[in-house]
Amino acid sequence: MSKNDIPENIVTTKLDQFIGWARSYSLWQYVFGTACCAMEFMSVSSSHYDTDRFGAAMPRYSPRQSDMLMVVGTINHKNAPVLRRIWEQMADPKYVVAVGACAVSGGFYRNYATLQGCDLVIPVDVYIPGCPPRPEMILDGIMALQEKIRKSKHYL
Amino acid sequence: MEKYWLLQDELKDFFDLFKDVKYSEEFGQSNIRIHSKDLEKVFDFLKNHDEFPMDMLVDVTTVDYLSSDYAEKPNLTGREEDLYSETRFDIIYHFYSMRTNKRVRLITSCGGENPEVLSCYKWWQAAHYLEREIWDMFGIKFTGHPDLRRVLMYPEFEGFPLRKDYPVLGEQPRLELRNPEQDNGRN
Repeated sequence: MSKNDIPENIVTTKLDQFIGWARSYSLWQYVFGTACCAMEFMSVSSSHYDTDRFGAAMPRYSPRQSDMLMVVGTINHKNAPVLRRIWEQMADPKYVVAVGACAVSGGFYRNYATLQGCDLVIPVDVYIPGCPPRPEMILDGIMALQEKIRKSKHYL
Repeated sequence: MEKYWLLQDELKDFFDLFKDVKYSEEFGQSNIRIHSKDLEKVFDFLKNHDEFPMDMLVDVTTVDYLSSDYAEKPNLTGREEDLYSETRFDIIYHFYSMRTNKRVRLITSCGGENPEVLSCYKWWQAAHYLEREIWDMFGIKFTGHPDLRRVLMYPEFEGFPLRKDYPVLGEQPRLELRNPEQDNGRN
C-alpha cells in the first residue's frame, strides 16, 4: 500500500504526538487560589479573556478529576501541607502551574510565615511571574504548558 | 469634624476615681495610660459608665518596645533586663460607645519573664479572638480567657513571631522541603 492509496480523510501520526495533542487540549484545572492573583485569574477564566479558547477551561473542584493544578497566590508554611495533599490526590498525568510572584518565589514576602515558592513542596512545570500577572501572561503560560505536553513522551 | 474622642474634661469622673493615670492628647485623640493592676476596676467603670457606656470593644493590640539595638544583635549577653523589662509590651484597647458615638483609647504595659494581664473577655466578648491573636503573636497570657490557643500560626509552632527578639527569617516548615533544582518531579 503506497502513500497515494490512503484516502484524504485519514491522517497519520505517532502515538505519543496523538496522546499529547489530546491531553493538551483537555486540561481540567484545579485552582488553588489563596490570594489576590485569584481575582485576576477569575477574569482570565471567565468570558472576558476566556481560557476556553485554548482548551483549558474546565475548572474542577475535586483534585481527583483534574489534570492541572494552578497555584494562584501566596503559600505559607501553615498551608503548605494542604497544597501537598491536594497535589498527591491528583491522578497522573498531572501538571502544576505557579501563577504570580508569590507562588513562584515567595514574592516580596520574606519572613517567618511565607513559603519561598511552591516548588519547595511540589514540582512545578510552568512559572508565570508578575504581581499579578497580566491575563495575557497567564494565557501564554497555559499555552507554554500545552506546548510542553505536546512535546513530552506519554506512557500508556 | 465632629469630636468623637472622649477628652480630659469629659472624663473628669474617671480621673477622680483613678489617680495613677497618665493622660496625653495627640491630633485631637486621647491616650489614657493606666497601671495593669487597675484594669478590672477600669473595665467595670467603662462598661457601666452612666453617660458614655463603652458597649463595644473595637480592637486590642500590642506593641513590643524591646530596644532596637537588642533586636539587631540578638546574641548580646547581659541584656536580660531589656528582655524581661516590666514595661516591654504596651497593650492598647480601643473602646467605642455606640449610643453616644464616643471613643476611648486605653494603654497599659506588661512584661517580665511570663507577661500576663487580665482578660477583658468577661466584659466584652469580642476580646476572644483579639486576645488569642496577641497570645499567638506576642506570647502575652490573658488570665480569665476561656480558650487561649494559637489562632494564626499552627499549633506546633514554637515561639512568638512578632516579638522583636524572634528572628525575621525564623521559618518552621511543617513538611520536608524539596530541592527544586535537583528533583524535577518526573520519574
